[in-house]
Amino acid sequence: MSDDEQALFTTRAQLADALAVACELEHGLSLQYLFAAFSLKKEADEGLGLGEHLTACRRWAGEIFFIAAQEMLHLAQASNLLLAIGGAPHLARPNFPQLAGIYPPGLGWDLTAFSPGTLARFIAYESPAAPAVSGSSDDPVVPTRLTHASIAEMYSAIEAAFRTMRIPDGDLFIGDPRDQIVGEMVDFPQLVKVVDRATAQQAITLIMVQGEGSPADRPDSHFGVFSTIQRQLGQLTAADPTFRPARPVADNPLSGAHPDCNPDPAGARLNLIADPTTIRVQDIFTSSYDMLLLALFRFFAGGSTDAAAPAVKRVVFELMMNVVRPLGDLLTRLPMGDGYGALTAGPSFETFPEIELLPHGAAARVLIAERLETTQLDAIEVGGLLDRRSAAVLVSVADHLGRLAQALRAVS
Amino acid sequence: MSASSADRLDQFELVSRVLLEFEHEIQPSLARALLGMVDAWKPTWPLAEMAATFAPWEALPPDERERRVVSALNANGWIPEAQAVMGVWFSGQLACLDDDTTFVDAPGDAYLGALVWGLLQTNPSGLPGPFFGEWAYPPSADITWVVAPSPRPKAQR
Amino acid sequence: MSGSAGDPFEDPTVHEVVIVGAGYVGSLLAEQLAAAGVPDVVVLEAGNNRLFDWSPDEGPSSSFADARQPMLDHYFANQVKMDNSAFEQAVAARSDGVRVVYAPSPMVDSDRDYFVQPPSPQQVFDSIYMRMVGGTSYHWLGIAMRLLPSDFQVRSLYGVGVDWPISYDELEPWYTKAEYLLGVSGDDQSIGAAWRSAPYPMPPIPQSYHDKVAMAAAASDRYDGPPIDITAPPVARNSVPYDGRPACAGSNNCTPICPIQAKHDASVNLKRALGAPGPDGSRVPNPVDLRVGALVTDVVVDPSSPRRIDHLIYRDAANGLRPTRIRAKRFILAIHTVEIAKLLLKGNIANSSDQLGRNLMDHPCQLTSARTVPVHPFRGPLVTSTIDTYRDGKFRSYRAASRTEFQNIGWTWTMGSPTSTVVKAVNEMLAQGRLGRAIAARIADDLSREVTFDTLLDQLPDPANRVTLADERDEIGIPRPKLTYTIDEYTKAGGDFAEALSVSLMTAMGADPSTVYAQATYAGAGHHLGTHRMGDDPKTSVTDSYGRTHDHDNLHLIGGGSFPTVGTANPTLTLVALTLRSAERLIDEITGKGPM
Repeated sequence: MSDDEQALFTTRAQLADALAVACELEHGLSLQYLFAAFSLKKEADEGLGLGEHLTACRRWAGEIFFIAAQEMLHLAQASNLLLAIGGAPHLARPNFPQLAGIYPPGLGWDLTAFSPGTLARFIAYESPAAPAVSGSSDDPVVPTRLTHASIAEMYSAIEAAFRTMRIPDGDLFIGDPRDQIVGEMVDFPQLVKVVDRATAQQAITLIMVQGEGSPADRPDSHFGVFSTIQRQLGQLTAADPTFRPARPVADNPLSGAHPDCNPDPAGARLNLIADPTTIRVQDIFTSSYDMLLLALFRFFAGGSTDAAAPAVKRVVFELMMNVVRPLGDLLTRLPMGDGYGALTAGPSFETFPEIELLPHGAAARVLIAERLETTQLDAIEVGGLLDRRSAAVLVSVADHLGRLAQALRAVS
Repeated sequence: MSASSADRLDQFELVSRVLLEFEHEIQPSLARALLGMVDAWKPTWPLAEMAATFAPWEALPPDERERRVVSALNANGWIPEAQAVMGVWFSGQLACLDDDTTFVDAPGDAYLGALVWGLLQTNPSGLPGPFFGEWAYPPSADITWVVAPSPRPKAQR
Repeated sequence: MSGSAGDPFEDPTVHEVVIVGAGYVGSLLAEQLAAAGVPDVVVLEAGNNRLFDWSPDEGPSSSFADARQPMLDHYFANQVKMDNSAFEQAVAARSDGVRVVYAPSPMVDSDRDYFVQPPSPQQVFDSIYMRMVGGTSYHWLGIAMRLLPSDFQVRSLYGVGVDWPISYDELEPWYTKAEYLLGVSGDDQSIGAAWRSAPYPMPPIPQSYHDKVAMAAAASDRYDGPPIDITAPPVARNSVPYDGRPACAGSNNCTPICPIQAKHDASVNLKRALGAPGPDGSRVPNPVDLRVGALVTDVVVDPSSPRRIDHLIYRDAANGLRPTRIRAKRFILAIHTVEIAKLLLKGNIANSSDQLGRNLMDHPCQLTSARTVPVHPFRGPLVTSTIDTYRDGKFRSYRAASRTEFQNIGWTWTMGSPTSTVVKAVNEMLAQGRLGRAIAARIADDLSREVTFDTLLDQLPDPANRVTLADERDEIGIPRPKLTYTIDEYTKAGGDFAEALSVSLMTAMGADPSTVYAQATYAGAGHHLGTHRMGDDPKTSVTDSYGRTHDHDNLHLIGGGSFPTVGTANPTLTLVALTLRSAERLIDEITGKGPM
């Protein structure tokens, strides 16, 4: 440790604020990556045929899903750091789209389909060096609390704060260690339980190395993987200019505008879905995603000591795997509707002010179960409006929603 | 018998709809590949006769249609043909006959388009994906779409 | 045929090293030597298939672009879905098979076209291999498991087999190096009796839903078998991006070919040996000279110095199979357990011990299948769990050690699922008067319940289990390998134990007793081992622990054939560790730092 190092944060409050931003950032990155992965074509009959285009699109989707999952790991890791110093789980975030500059490194914050431009943005997010950013930080609309030129720099500042803050371990790490999420609970064996400076350091290193990579191992970082995909896309497109890897997904396809939507004048547009059936599917998606967040709040808050943790964990994971994932993919195949030509929608991940930590576990379970049941009924109804293959997704989703509600209600 | 290849494809699609109980559109390229496999196994199989026999029953209720079709298969000695047609649709291979040394060449479409993958709720083995860790959870897809529409589920309240 | 008319074509150079075979051992050795700056390394490979874009003319400036798409296409179109179905050479008996006529391989469907063995249904040696660039590395399963410390000392500890000339502790650093070179995902918590000096480079691969059902059953009071522990095996399959290759995506196709190269294969190392840039952009200083379509037929001793090999003769497929003479200071044979024995027996080379070709071993596999509660197979890597509990114990004095795996592909191995399951459902349901929709539901239910466990069994070295030269000859006149092979009572006792364990666990998983099927013969694991075992005593072994033959100072044999005993670990990781150890010795010698 170098005592003369200039730490940006010197108080617990500042550090907690920075970690909350880190949680928002990891959460938002994960969703943007998921959106891009969902937008990729995955079947031969989508114009890919059999052969290397099909292989490439499916391989890229798998790679991007993997990175999105690692961002969720980082979210859990940032949450552990925040809880360790006495903070609360932080899953709130503004709706898409947002102004460039609200998060480091000052790039657009949009849901956009897989494309060279989208990849370039992802590469810039994960870049080990500060990229050249359009829209400088002295822009008056940019929030001033963060001035980091890159995500890497932000984590370096957090790491430095843990290292240099003049508070003894015992006073800094006031969170209950039993509230820490451990790797086995979330199928992320790498997740670090944060109880002191050494484990905090380990946690931040994990996030940084997986993101922008260590100097010795950049190809396997998020930065490296996105760069490789960009290169492969360039090669395949050069060989066949008609190659279209993504579905014609609209930018930021929302079912309604939210007060906190803040599209960047120079960035991607906000597009309101016009097709009434697609809107209903989007609403089922939104409701499921929001229930996932409510359950995740409870999971992060309850730690390993909550007797309801297994049921709550099940809700989180099955909503993710069996509801959000198939609906997210389906939405990229459904029409935007009148005025949008052939454009299709995509999962908008809309969120609302009431999606926050519900303080009482038993009440939370009832609330979530009720909402899952309502959503289930809606899914059954909407399934009847769709074509055979899309309807099958809704049938399966409805089935899972019903079973999860039952599981929650079964917790005494 | 000198049916045009378009006619034969139509006939094959009809026979497939009836035997597999498909209630959705059939991809012509896949149907053509599978027809080629059955033709390679038995160039003179009675496709036209089967199609002509089944055609009037297409609109019948499923139970009634199934009863009549199976009777016709038995009465006419068409069981091996029915096995072959269903075998190529379900598995992408023509190995469903007693003589298991019967192998015919098939384009990759037949394997990748086989219904068995939908019934397994998975990707054709060898196509990349779906994604890391998926296998740690039970599958989530609904299999009923594989041959026919999902039944409308009832709310479980 | 070695005695073809006329003088061989002469390669005028005396090369530093000639490596024969570009499979796992040959590719890794080539990479190590090239990276260390050893000049003038030639690699001779009988196969002529393309794993990546490379040509001798372009050399290191070749694009090295991966060429697995044509192999995937071939696999999808191949009506025979077997371990080697992705290779166009694979299906000799089929209309689309393009056979490498001058270098035949044993095939799944026609192994007796090459091996000379007794007819079915007698127990035969049931494993195959491919003579091709990359060897078997494209269709290995990827289990990258260490042998246990006791596996190196079974004679001392249990009074069976023989001890290795090296200990686990001596090999441990090389195991670690091998794990980082291949990229191994493993669980540091389940290290068993094998101590480690470093953690695995990657976290373990998640266990499948099927495995979780089995684990819950094993923990329940329905299970009445011996105590077991079910863990994730270490695998050379990425659980995070590693070495420029992606994490596994669950494509369910580790064999015959991973479509995204999440599993390590020898092309990774062969490319770098040829001068391709690694993920970090660096290149080896001295790329090797790879000659494909080069079938070595003769190993010739220096008449004036019998402890030296003077030259090899190979048939050059690019020049009408012209015999070509190649000289070198050192020769390394890495052409597979059976092929090394065959080649050397033909010239009676390196066999003063009379051990050459003897002690042929595999991991005989006990297979059990049953229909249980739904486990939803055909998803994820082909194996994601192992029962290591009976890899070691005092019982090894009388019963083979065993390691049980769960197959994530239903009854594929035992019955040929999913096609066989489809056939059965179609035929039976049709006989009951049912059509498409009912048959589809039946197929879905049947497949979701298919469970197969395979147990790898330890097999002791038996000099009577051996490779000899058959009277029958291959297409170009080389004697075919004749295999004499039996499975003894020691191994069968392990098989019986494994079967009972499997049935207990399947019963706890809700197996319908009428569906329990235990295969009568032992399947091959594809682990050809023995035939040129290493040892300290030239009277009982063919090479020293570095692979140098006791009879010829400049002839090295490295591969599965080096194993004195086999334990229950899939051999690749040990084989790679041995290769790295030998590579360092060779490099030290050549650069003047070490012995000789």
